[in-house]
Amino acid sequence: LIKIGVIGLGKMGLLHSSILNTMQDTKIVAICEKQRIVRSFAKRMLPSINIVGNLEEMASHTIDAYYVTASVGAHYPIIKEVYTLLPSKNIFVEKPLCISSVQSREICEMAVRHSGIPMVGYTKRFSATFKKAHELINSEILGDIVHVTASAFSSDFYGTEKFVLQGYARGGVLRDLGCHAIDLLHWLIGTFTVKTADVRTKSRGRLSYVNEVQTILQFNGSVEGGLTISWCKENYRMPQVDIEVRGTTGKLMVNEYRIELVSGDEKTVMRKNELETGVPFFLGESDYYHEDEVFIDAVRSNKTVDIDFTTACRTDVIIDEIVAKTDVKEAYA
Amino acid sequence: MHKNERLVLVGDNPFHGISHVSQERAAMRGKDVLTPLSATNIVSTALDYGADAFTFTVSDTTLEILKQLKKRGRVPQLYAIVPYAYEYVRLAVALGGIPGLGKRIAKQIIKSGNLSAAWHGIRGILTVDPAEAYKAYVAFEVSRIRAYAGKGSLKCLFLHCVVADMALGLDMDWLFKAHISILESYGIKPGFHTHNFPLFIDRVKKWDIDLDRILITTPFNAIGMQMNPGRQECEKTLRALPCNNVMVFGVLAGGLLQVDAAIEYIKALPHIYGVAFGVSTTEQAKKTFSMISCQ
Repeated sequence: LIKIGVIGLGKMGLLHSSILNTMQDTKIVAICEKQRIVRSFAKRMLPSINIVGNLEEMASHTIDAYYVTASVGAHYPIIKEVYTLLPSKNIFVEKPLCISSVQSREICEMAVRHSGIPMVGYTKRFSATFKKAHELINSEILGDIVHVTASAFSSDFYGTEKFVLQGYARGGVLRDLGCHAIDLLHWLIGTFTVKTADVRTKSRGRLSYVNEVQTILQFNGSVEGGLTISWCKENYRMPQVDIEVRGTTGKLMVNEYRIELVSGDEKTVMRKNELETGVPFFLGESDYYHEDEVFIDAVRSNKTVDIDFTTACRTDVIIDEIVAKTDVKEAYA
Repeated sequence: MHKNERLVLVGDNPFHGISHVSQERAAMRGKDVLTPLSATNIVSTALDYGADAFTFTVSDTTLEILKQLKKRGRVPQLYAIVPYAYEYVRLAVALGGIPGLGKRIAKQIIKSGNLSAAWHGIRGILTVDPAEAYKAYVAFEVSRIRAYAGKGSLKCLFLHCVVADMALGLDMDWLFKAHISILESYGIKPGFHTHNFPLFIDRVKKWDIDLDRILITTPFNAIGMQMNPGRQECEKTLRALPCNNVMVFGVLAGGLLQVDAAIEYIKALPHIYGVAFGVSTTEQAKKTFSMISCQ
């Protein structure tokens, strides 16, 4: 039986707890939540789970793996505390790893020093369409890659003119939504750097967050690409990442719903529902179940995962690079 | 389809810009379908051509549709779903998170003068009782629907899958029991919206909840889209039910299946209470619902 401790009882904490609770041989033993009122209700809502207020209390329970699902700003101190205070070093962290590459690098060093399975929840890697795109690009069906264009859009803050505290708490659009696109580009295409960046922010007093971004990227030497990120777009009821990869022998377009592959005169469209099958338990998207399944399996068999802290740290480095290209002083970081 | 035995419902997904195939597709439908007036015309046409009822998530858009239908004197049987998670998430963003959202709902409850909701809410907070707080929320949603549509038309209130499935995973039987208890006290059928039909039935049985007392709405279609863990398991569970209490949606698999093929598939399934179809134009409503009425 894999015993799980969840740190942070927000939307993602509930989602992972619910999925993990349905898996065979997996049990949620304790949930740590710092807000007293949330704890009080949680004790009544989830009577079979130990609800605790800090990690010292969590240490009194036998736990095999931790899920860090607190707000992004709290990831760094929590992960550090888990490594120093708690016996198990198997840690799943919701994306992104930290709010700066400096913090992420320190966490990576800690992960190397301690044995255990580290994983970051870049859930789009488990989406049927992006998985298929990864497979197709690796098969070299596109030939040599010549250009890449990507976007990450949502309507979360569409029509919101002013600074919104939620935008700040979520770490700005780069860390909330853009990190998915950056991670997917790393996974699908390879490493890249930021050539130019146009960043728009929202500020109130000393607080500010990134609201929209347009960048030019440099992949593996001469290949250029563009990445646009915004959470103020109209008509994106759900967040969406679109990636277009042009190669010498074909073109591939992918998002959460479909893949379009153009090779010579032939065009093939594959839809999400054709590529994916049902999951034992569906909540939100089937990707979440697959993601948790991979982590639990890695803990059970003590094997590494693709999206570990070191891999995820590359995304935080790119985010810092984007912000550094501007004169924006991002207070959050 | 056995029209006399099974309820035919018009659904509201297109009115919210929802497509299970892609967002582009939803956007391509245009903004017309999102206006309450054009949506009301679509619902009215569906009713003209054989739909018996309207199923919808409770939002400003659908409440406005109810208002328009009431004005026209033709409110059908209503099968509502709460909460409309998307609207609440957007509100939470605008109001500064969950505390802001909670304050807004509390204010609305007070403003509505709904004593039952206020009583449950105060009791829930004072005694830290989530079941009471949940009852306050349901009382509020019921009063919103009744204010727009009149008292007698709301037949069933489903708990949305975002909450129902999360609670299912966490074994929160108290939430299911609170939902049943508050709705039965209003004379409204309690319902649950799920994407995990076999697991749902398994848990409900474990919790000693009588299946006769509830309705379940869940996807069923010939290609198994959104049927978890799979089409075969869902069909097997359906066959084993003791009563006709499943209202199916997603039968057209987001437009990937033709109406006649979808009807053929559903006709062969047992224990179906009703079938919901989403349509995004009056033309589509005429075509779809007249085709269903003929079969």
